[in-house]
Amino acid sequence: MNDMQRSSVNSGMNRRLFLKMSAFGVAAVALVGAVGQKAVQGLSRLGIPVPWYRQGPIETTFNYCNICPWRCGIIVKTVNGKVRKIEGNPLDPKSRGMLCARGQAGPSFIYDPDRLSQPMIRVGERGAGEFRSATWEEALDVVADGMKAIAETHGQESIAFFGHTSGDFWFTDHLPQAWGSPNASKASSSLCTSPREEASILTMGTNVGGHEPVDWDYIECLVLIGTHIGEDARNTMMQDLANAKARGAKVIVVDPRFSTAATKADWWLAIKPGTDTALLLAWMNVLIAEDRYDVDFVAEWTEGFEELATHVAEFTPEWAAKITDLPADSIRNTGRMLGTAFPASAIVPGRHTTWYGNDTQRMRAVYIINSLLGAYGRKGGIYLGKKPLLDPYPQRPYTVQGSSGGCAAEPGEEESAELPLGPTGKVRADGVREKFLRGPTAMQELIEPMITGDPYPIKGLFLYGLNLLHTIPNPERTKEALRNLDLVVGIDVLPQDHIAWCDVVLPEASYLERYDELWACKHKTPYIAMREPAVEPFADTKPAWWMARELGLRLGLDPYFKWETIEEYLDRRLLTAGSSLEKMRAAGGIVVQKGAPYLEDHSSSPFMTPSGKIQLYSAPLADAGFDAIPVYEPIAEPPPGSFRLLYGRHPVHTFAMTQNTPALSELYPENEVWISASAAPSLGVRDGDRVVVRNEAGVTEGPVRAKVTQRIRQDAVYMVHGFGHKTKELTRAVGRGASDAALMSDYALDPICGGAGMRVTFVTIEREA
Amino acid sequence: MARYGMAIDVARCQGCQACLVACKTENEVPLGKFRLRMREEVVGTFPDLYGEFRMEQCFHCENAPCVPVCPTGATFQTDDGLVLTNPSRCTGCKACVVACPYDMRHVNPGGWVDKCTFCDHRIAEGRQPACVVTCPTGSRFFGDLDNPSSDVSIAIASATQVDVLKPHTGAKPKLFYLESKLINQADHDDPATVLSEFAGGK
Amino acid sequence: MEIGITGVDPTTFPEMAAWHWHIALYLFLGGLVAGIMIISAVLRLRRSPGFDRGLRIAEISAVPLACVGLFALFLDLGNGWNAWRFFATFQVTSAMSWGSWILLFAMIVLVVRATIHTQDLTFRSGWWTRPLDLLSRIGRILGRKSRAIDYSAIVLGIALGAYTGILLSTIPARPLWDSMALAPLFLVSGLTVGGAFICLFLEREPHLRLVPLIVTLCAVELALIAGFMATLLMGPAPLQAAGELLLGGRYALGLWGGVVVLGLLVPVSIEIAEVARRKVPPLLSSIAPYLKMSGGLVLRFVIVYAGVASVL
Repeated sequence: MNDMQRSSVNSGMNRRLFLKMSAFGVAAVALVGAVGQKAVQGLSRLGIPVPWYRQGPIETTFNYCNICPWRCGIIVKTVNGKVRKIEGNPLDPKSRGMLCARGQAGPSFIYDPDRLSQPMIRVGERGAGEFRSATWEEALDVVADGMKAIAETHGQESIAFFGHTSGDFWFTDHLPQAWGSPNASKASSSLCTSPREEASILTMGTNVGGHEPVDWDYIECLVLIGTHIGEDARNTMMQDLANAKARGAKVIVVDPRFSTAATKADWWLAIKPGTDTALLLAWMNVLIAEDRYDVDFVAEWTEGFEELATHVAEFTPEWAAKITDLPADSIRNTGRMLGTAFPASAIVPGRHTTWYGNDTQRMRAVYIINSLLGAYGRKGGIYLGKKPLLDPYPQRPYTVQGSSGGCAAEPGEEESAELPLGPTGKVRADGVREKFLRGPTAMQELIEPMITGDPYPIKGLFLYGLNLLHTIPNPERTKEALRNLDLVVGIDVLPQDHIAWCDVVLPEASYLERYDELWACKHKTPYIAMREPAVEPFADTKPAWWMARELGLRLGLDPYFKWETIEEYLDRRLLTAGSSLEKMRAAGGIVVQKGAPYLEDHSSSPFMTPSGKIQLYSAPLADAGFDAIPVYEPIAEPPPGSFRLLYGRHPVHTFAMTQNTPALSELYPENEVWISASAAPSLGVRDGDRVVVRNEAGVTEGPVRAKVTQRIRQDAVYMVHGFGHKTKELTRAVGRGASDAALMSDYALDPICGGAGMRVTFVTIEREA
Repeated sequence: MARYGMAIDVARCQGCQACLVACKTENEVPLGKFRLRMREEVVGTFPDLYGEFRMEQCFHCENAPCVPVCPTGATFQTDDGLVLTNPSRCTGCKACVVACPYDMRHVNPGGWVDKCTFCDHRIAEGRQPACVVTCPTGSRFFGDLDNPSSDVSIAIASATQVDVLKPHTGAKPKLFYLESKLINQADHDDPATVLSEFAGGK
Repeated sequence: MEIGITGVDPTTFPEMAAWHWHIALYLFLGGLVAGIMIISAVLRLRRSPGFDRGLRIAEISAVPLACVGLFALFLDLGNGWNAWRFFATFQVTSAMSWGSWILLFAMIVLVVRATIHTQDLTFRSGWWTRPLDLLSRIGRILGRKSRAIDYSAIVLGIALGAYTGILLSTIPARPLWDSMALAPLFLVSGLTVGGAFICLFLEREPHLRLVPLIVTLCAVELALIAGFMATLLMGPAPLQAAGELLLGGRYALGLWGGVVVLGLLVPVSIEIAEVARRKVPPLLSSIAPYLKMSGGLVLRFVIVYAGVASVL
């Protein structure tokens, strides 16, 4: 314009004429533009769509997936400011360039029209879901003031921090530890992996870690006990199982249900639920009695073999057959199969292991078998995972040491160590050392203190990415606790069921819209992955690190937020790994380091027990009054006419998080109750009928569709976890299917690790009236 | 000139449906419409069961029955053996939809008929189809059937069991199923045996 | 066997099947118009007396009837704006492409014949008859070539009537349509319903003169239905399965009750009774043509829907 003006003046053009002309010109351009737009619309209606990859330059960013906690490395493709496609990062040791359905649905997840878009402050009653919108300033001030008020009356410990998903560092580790609450907890511990982690620490002195260290490339015989590879669609596990099978590895699946993994099995043992330990003891019996164990490994690396051999001598396959409802021959033959292939032979640790409340002992039995097979640190067995070298950001030591756990957490405090104290001298309120022996903070045990104030009241609660009412059994109890609180803060991407119960809702930018803490994965080849934004945050959403920092500054926690930008924080951390964001981008988004997977890679014992040996016999457990070697303890059985409620995963859904995601909802919009084809006729239920599921406390869920099938034992029913959403804000998920968590009016607390055993619910099935 | 084809190893496939969603985002297939679909089959009685997943999509048949019926030439076969539909020539008359013995075509809400293209735009860049690249179990093999060293040729050559769906149609599909114990073994398509299904949309 | 399906599969979602009432209606009206064209042209060429009024009304009605059929076809198109593409090409292997061009020429002949016969109409004159006068004048000019036009009507009528069957029978993926009998069946059925339509506007006497022809056509149609069923039931397994859909399946009642009994046997019996000078209640004799026409309509619906449902 300026140029034109100058030239018109120079040519002596009348200024008014020029203005008239330019006004006319603008009008003409607008007209042509409008007509042009119509023409373009018309043309596209005529059927010449331009595919996304030709609409503009494709920009590429690196990230690690957040749609499940597995954290596959991904490459995000963006065109004109919109995420269009996600592909696996070929350099990433988890994705290896491939991606599951959920990871592929990332764009659909972040463009879900139901997303939370702005900070909100509650105006109605808790649970009513009535909010007014607020500015970030106001919302954060309300949260900070609430926190300070609770700290003054009750102490910092009285605020609990619950979290889940891969961004949970800021609100379940960093902020609570800086603030001074030991009551931070991740759902992936006491509601998922605690038994296998604590059993591993008790037995080998090390944890399992976020990536089960099975040496898939060389394994020859493997057992999956309640591990649903294919349904629990962890990308790498599916790859590994398919490749192992294609190589000819033998697969034994132990499951009361003909799972996807069972369809791939050479042996499917349709075990009676709750009797796995009997099967494991019988396998030990077979291995030892038939001399099919690794004598040298046991002699060199284990302690307590004599006691074990004596202990299992009586647990023959015939003994176990009566308990497990499996043929003795099947037990013996599968035990022999395991014992033929060692050390390239192992039981896969599994992930969700909180089943019956005696799970730490069952997991110990698993590890004892793996030890008999000499699998640890051996090619084709269980490799020794290593954490990548990466230092934390240098800052003042935290106010309180953390024990929030998480599936990727390193071992927490040692058995002998004192529990960390908060600023007002209180230890965590979950009853560790009294109700249970050890392990990370047990989330479900923090609900009771909210209701009873015992051992001290919990008055504030942060919920980061955690689907509270679908995660902790007995949501009615949780709601009662929520009513007692002074401050409930929800940080989430979607308006999940519990959001209606929050005082302040802080909408989070999705994983494709933010930087985040680095993902440092304990692995055969330890590696670090980065997360960077592909697009601007949706609406008025903010990343969790920004929220945590803003809160920290308001709370006087400046020493923990010395960095101004997240890039600065990340670069400083990466420096210790000899990298930087820039270098990582150039290198393909991943830093891979050298591992030490086998025993020969270690000069000293890799087993971190006091003696450096695997504890077949556990003295610490004996000292604490538990069985030093696992025994089989019968659990309650469903009364006649009732079924044990089993639950699991569907490959296109993660927990209760993705049921509203359009591209996933259309593949599996509602769950079904699997009912044995031999039990269904007596209930008058036919396949496809709508049924109501009722638990012993009278709680009902449904109506939900019945899947009458040969694929499950007749003493159990099964449903996919995460359905039965109640909030209308989730327009696709609301009212679809049934919630397994709602049906769990109780759980069985594991007295060793604090895990909540959730397969102890008995239900009846009725046709919908 | 190539003769593109695909093979799916049902012994590897775990039914995770990554391919369905990868296809959907890559090709912007609208909600409720599918270029790919999954069929899960379990036979036997408890506890003697056997199960398979079968992914289905356009088979890019050599004698594609959908091509000759098209009144406008919108559906055509390329020199590389891909069966494609040109949306700008398509009237949406659905003759090809009816003519496909495998029911692999659908009408896009935009009015034209749509189906799997083997990601021809990726092939043109020397890349593999989106469903093949993303498949976590490595069940999918793609390439030139005339080239004995292509992924698909090697997979087919080393398989112990190779099937195509409904060989009696004479359409000569170029998508092969490997190691299936169910295909062409039973009357799969009897609707009376269908117990449960899910589809998109409302 | 337990089967689960993710994604859309017409096995589990029959409503996903591609062709619906539009196509059935279009095939029916196409057959009807073809029948009118052929029968009227033949009668005009034979210069049989007494048919003039009936033929004139039928010939003029054929134009809107064909338009309704074309509109149903247009509604069925996913992308109607691309309909012109049918006439931008000729695909020799595609029955539908042949059909598009046949329809185009048939439409021309239909309009020409309708125009010729508007001259026979008498109106009270007024300003609004001016365009009709013009039409009559054009019709008079065209009428000089009426024999040639009648012959072309016969040819195009046969092409159109047969095409409605050929469209289906050239789609091998649907075994129920995989029969050589389908084209003659639809052609003859078109003649039956076309004849019935003309009879609606005939006096009793000329109507009765047509009955031998009509009875013959109906008998041929019955024979063709029998032949059609035979080709299915004696064919390979998918054809047999398709035949069973018609024999005892979902569509059996439509075919045997709607087409054979109500659409053919009952009206033919009524007409034979009339020729034989039996006392026939006037109501019965007046509904006979309607029964035949609805039988023809049901036939198209049964064949289209059962065909889409049949699986190779």
